[in-house]
Amino acid sequence: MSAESEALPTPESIAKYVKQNMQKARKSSSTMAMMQHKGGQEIVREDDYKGHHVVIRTTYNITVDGKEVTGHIMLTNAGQVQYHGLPNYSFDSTVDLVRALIDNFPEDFQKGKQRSGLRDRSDMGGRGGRPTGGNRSSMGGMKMLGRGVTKPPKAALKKKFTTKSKRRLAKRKSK
Amino acid sequence: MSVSRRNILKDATVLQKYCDGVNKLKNEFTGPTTQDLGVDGPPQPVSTYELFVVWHVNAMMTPTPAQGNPAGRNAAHRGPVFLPWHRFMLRQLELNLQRVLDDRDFGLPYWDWAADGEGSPQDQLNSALWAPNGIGGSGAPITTGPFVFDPNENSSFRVRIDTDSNGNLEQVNRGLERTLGQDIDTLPNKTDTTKVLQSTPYDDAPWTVSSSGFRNQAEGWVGADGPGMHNRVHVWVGGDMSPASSPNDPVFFLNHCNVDRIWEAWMQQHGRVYVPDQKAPRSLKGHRIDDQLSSLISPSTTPAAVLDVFAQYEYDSLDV
Repeated sequence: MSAESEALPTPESIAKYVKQNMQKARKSSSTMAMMQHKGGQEIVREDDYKGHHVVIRTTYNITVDGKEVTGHIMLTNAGQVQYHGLPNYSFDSTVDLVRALIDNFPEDFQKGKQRSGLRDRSDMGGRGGRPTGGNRSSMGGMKMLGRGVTKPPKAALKKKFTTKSKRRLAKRKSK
Repeated sequence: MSVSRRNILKDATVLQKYCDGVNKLKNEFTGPTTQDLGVDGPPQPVSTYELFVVWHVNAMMTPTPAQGNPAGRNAAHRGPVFLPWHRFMLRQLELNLQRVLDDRDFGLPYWDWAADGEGSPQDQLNSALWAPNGIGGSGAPITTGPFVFDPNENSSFRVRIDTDSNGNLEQVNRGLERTLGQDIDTLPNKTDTTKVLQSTPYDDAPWTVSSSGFRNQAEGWVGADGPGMHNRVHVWVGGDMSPASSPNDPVFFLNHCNVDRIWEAWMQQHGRVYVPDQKAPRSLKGHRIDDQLSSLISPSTTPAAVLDVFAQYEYDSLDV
């Protein structure tokens, strides 16, 4: 490690370095906001094969209930779909990706969601109320073989978590 | 002074100190606000712990090269710098924990998830790590352990900043969430770690998630069995470990400390080597051996400077 980065931090040094670095941080945030892909995202894949240079351009324009999904998508040359908002996942198809987004961020896809400001969800059970356990059916395209492990029947899971989801939804509607 | 990094499941004292230290950093506010860091909403103070969350998101949102696909290689992931950058981040957390614990001997603990991965899926869920006297269990929000949220208690653990479905930072006020074992059944196991330790070189062209070599295996983009290694742990824990704001869950650092331990074990076998070197093209800026690493709360460092950490810390075991 560099000697500078090894110095024992203090509250003052943290504030100082955040101030120094936040210009860069703010710039990267605003840059990324500008780079959000409104109006579609083109992904370019290239390959060199037997002396030929291959370029494949794919344009994604994804909407959910008419609302555009503007996060960044990545396609690997093996055909896997990856996404900035779920950075450790890999999907077999973009449909599977969007289903996972709806599962993981249900509040983002509710009608009338306020984008800006503090979202006090302490009474809502958390990240938009994703059911503990999730809806596995929509994760079916993610590569997640279970090493031969037998899972509970999906129907049982669906019943359990659907009931919980309905309770949460009813609670929100009553607010 | 070199400190010892220990297995969190084999040392109750280090577990207790880690949880105490995290809660102290969650309640320390040194001045930066959400407005300073470009987070939408009313200006709110940002705790030292949450600065690590913002730092991680900002690094992830910094494409490398700058004109590249932001979902591709970034300043901390999906390329060679994945291991050095997280080593730098872990060390900054360790130094801050030493400070708030007033204990210069404190070493960041690791979670040997591959040891848990040797058990059945049910055994993995029943690991002592997730017990009330561990770091708490599954839930939305979690209801056991040292990081339980109480909306009426300001000092209780709460998530204040996370990322939305597009990866943007946003303000929230809620408890920590985990969905253990729900999106994937099993953790990586010792067969996986043994295989990864044998992979060489450190990294290779095209320096992405399609690369051969150790880094990409350790990050978890390679493998026929779904997400591997580091990625698989994120997916297995789920909840707040899923989005770019994954450092919100203190298990993030226990996972990465184990990844760092695996890297250290790899270097013991294959040498303290790193690629690409500084002669690599500018398109790899941010990933070359002498490039500056993305930093927020401290001065920066370089991959070269973090290859040998013997003066700072050592692991109690490199049996990964």
